[in-house]
Amino acid sequence: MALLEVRNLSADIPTRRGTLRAVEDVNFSISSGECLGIVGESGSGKSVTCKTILGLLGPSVERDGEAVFDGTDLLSLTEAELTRIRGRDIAMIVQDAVSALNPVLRVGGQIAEGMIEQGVVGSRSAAMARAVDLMRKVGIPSPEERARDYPHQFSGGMCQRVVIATALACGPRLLIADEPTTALDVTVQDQILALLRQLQRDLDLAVILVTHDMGVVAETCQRVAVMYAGQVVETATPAELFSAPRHPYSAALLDCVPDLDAAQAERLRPIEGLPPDLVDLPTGCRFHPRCPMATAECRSQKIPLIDIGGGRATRCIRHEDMAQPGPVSGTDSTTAEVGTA
Amino acid sequence: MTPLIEVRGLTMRYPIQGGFMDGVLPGRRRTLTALDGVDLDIAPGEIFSLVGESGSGKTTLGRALLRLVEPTSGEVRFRGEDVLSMGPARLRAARRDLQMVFQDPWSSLNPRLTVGQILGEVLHVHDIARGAAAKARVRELLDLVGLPPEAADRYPRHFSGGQRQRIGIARALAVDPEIIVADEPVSAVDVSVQAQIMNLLLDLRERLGLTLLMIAHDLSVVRYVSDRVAVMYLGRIVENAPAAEIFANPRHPYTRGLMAAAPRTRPNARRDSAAIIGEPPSPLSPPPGCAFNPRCGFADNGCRERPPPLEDLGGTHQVRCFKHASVGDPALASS
Repeated sequence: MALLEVRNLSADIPTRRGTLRAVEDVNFSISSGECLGIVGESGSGKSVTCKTILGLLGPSVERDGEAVFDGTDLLSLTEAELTRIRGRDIAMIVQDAVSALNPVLRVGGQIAEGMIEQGVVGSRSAAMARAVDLMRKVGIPSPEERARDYPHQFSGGMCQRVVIATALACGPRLLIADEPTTALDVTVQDQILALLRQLQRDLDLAVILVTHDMGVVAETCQRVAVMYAGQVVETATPAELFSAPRHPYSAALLDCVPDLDAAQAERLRPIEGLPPDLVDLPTGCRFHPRCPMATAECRSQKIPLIDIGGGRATRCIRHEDMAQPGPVSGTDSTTAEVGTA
Repeated sequence: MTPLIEVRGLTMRYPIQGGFMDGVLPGRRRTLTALDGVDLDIAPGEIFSLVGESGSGKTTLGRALLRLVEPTSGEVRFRGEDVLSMGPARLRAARRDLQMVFQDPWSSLNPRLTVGQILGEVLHVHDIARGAAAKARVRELLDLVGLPPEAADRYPRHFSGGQRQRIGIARALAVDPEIIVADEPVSAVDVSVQAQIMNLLLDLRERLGLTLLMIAHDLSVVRYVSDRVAVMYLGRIVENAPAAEIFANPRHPYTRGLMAAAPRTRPNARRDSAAIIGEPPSPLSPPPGCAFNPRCGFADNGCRERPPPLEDLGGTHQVRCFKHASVGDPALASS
């Protein structure tokens, strides 16, 4: 059974120019011990989706749909009820770990704070002891001494480990990680991703990993949802997505990333144009102005997320044409790689 | 071919501002070595990439070449002429040939000027064109970077990140330079836009015969555009080779580790498990010997005692490692 099931989620943000449809008709589910990647470019709605679920966007944002966590619809809860769940059953870590920490508090105290607040430990000293344990678990050397240090005494990678320890403090069942490695160097990113994989396994955690990096998804997630202009346009396993994408946007996005393991024989094919203005969305499919496969139907008709079997779904009415190799722009080179991978 | 840029022994040390007594008390003054004896040559028409983690000195090196920072010692020669000893007037003239594109397209353009004014300002300062001639040149520059002529009358805020990066490139091109130093030109833009900007840089090199020094951390981007790659670690170049060679046959453990750490989109593509442990040491207290030794799987006592020299492996492949033979050994490469 799914731990979190998101159904028809939407979020409208009022702006001076009109209503901004940041998220529309988002559906996905995640089970314990599973890592779901949400991938997309800036403005695709991946962070807004997570914040909408946790009610972090403020009262002016109009939310619709359901986010059922362990039998409870999070969208129907009051702020007080949500406070009991946030940080306890669902924890979140963000991109900028250094600014997520309070610069004038020792890190041990910051890790312990949530446990005391949520009442998951009997005493302050028990919370501190558990904080030191957590620091050890996330790979911080000499945790007893380091617990008394301040955030500025830690490197960026170590700060992210502290933030992860804070997130784990109350024993959450779902961890939402919003671009957790984007600010880090590649060797440190590698270490943090390995840590997240290990924690997910050891603690049977469900993890939602928000990222713009297809490579991060490939190495960490069991399933991936690709977002474009506020909608999920494709869900698949990473292997399926990378070898045979079934939405033209996913295919085009993969074509934009140069291959590190082979010299590029020809020029990359960038996606022409820009993502749509979320205040003034195109009719029909939101990707149609940039899509090489768009037809009259794509321009006029609202496209639903179509279940194409095998746990995969795509928001493209021409997905069957994409399954065939050949004339479809953007898919030939990626399918060719399947044989060699 | 004579190099366009020759760098020899370039060193940059910054004094560290500590407490107020540090300048008075002996032995408390500390320095941070950002660049430590860097040697490199950039050939005309080449795309040369500098890679490394934050704090490795790649940005400082790019800036030192243009004398945006004043190096402590060493030599930078541009077409044989010593850049570091140029007087203000000569330097200003030389900067018509040496231009820079910055990483952040949001903060590197003046928000109060139109794009036409931003580009026109450069033409005016360098006395290249004024009035109608300047207007015509602005249109030409916009066209060169793939922006419509109407862009000239709009403000930077009207453009997306990728378009702003194009404006930054047009500004660098305004003076018709020989070499552009591009500091992380694609790291602040989305993936789909990255490919557009990289293709633009490749086109410009073809059309204008530009030489490009690119500072980058994304190895797949580097592999796609570069002719030559130098890897930096803690202020030193640890490996320098033609791009095809360095990706096929990395000979420094750090280069290999960087390549292994980069996430791959092709499932099961990763072959090399040479993961790098730990984080870069502080440049304020670099370890003795080879700066990479605390994180290196190949290090022995010799590596901890003295720093390895930059060795020539032939075919213009240089590496700063005592163990380069074992690193390149195919029998060990998959360990």
